[in-house]
Amino acid sequence: MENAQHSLQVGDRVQVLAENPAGNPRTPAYIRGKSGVVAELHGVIDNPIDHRGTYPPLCSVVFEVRDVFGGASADKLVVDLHEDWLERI
Amino acid sequence: MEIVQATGTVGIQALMAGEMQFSGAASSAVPAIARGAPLKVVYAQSGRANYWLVAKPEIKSLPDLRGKRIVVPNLGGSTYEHLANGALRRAGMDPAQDVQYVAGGSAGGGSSDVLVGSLVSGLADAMVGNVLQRLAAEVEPARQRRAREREMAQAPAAHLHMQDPEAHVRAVEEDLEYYRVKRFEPRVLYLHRRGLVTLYDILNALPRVTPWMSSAPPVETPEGLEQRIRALEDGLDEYIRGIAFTSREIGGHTMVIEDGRKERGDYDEFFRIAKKSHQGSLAERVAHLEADLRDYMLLLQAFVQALIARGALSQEDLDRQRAEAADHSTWHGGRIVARAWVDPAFKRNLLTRGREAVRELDIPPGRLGKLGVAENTETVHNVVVCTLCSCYPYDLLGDTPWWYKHDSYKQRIVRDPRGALAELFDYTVPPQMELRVHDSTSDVRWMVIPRRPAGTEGWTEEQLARLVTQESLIGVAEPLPPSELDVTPQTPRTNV
Repeated sequence: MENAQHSLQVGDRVQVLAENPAGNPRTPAYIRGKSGVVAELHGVIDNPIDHRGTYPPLCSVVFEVRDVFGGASADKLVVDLHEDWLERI
Repeated sequence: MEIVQATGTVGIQALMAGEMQFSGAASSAVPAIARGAPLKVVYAQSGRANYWLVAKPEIKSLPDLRGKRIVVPNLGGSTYEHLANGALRRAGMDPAQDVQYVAGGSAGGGSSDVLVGSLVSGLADAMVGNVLQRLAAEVEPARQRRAREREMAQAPAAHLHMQDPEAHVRAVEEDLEYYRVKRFEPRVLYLHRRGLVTLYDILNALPRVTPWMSSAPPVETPEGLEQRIRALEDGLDEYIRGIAFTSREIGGHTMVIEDGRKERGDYDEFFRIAKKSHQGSLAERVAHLEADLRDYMLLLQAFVQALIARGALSQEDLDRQRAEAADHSTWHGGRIVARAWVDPAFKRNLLTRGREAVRELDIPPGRLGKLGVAENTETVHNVVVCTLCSCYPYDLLGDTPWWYKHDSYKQRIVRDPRGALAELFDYTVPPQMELRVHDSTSDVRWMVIPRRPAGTEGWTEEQLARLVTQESLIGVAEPLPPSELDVTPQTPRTNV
């Protein structure tokens, strides 16, 4: 049911847009321009306590710490990102 | 003359090594001189105390510190520790025996908030700090309280401001009916049918009950309406908790009412349970809800009083449960985790449906976006952070620990997860285990299901729940080892 709202699928390789808009985007700066793999689809989430209306569908995307920050770490980062920030590659 | 910039300790080391002849850091020289270093203080700029022992309000004198924990930047003969030792000895105490020092982090400006945080959060009972750290310690609790009050009160930009009051009201309407129809009334009927409580018992208990009233003033402004909605939400939580208090084993009947499954009324019109729906303006719907909640609470309280009068429940039981519920933060998380450990169907439900699943435990599910649940396994360990602010399912699991909001945690846990866990929490993740850091950047609030400790076979859910710490729900620690609880294995019970 949630999948219907998504244009991405679990397993898609995606790149985060490297934009720097005004306001309070829920995309942290450290992850912009990095690429990862979609791990979970959350759909459009209703959260009236935090904001008016809804945001685009949300995905959990897995990144390698070493792809994001360099180094040799084998650990993973799972960041929740809205689809309008993601580009399939 | 050559001037070299160095920290106090480095300066003293350079002096002793003969690389320098003079240092301006007299405070670092004091412990060195005390240990026998051939140094001499030739000039002191300040005639007044530069270091302060700051303690919790209940500590009025040095002897009150007996058996307490004092936080200092680092252990082993630092200026801070040395000065505190001197003060304790002058009060006739033995620092080695009477107090325990804990390390708060390296000295210098950066450690102020760690020292202060330790004191404010209760990790330590007192702290030794310089004048800036002392000021921070004195203003920090008040600052936090003011910030919270400001956030709660108004400020359109504040995180907690109600952006869509209608959605809040809708949520209360749905939950209130859900708990009345599916949780409370079935209990009344169940016990009534078995003769444990009669309708007349409930009627007779009515005079002993104080009706619920909205705590918000009746103001006709948007802010006033928002306050009334918040009061309704609090009242609803109280109602749900109150129902939970009647869910224990009563008169030999364990009332476990499963909500996870679909009930017949959900798909068969014949069995449908009628639920009211409210219409009208938002203010009218709020007024309707207040009237409903008043009625529902009245019946619930009368029911509880009737059970007490019949000896099926005791006031002590009730008080104990209320105290546990007040500390809902970790206790809720512990109960959720414990149920997930013993009940695979619940765990599946929790992983796929999130907060909806916790209704089964009579825990108010909360209203904050989606609950993400990350399960630790033999091969994967999960940790939660929010690098953008400090998002957390606090409506379900309570407020976050102070360090969760701290930049040093947010920055380090994403850059070097393993190193951060080892250094900040003394927690080593086995090298072969995959480590995943969940950054709660948007509307999914994550919690961790830690792994069940070995040696807890046959434990009840309640006992298991006590092993779950807030740290283990965030993923920076394992649950407590079974040895922390004195538990003799019992027959497992399903009702916590």
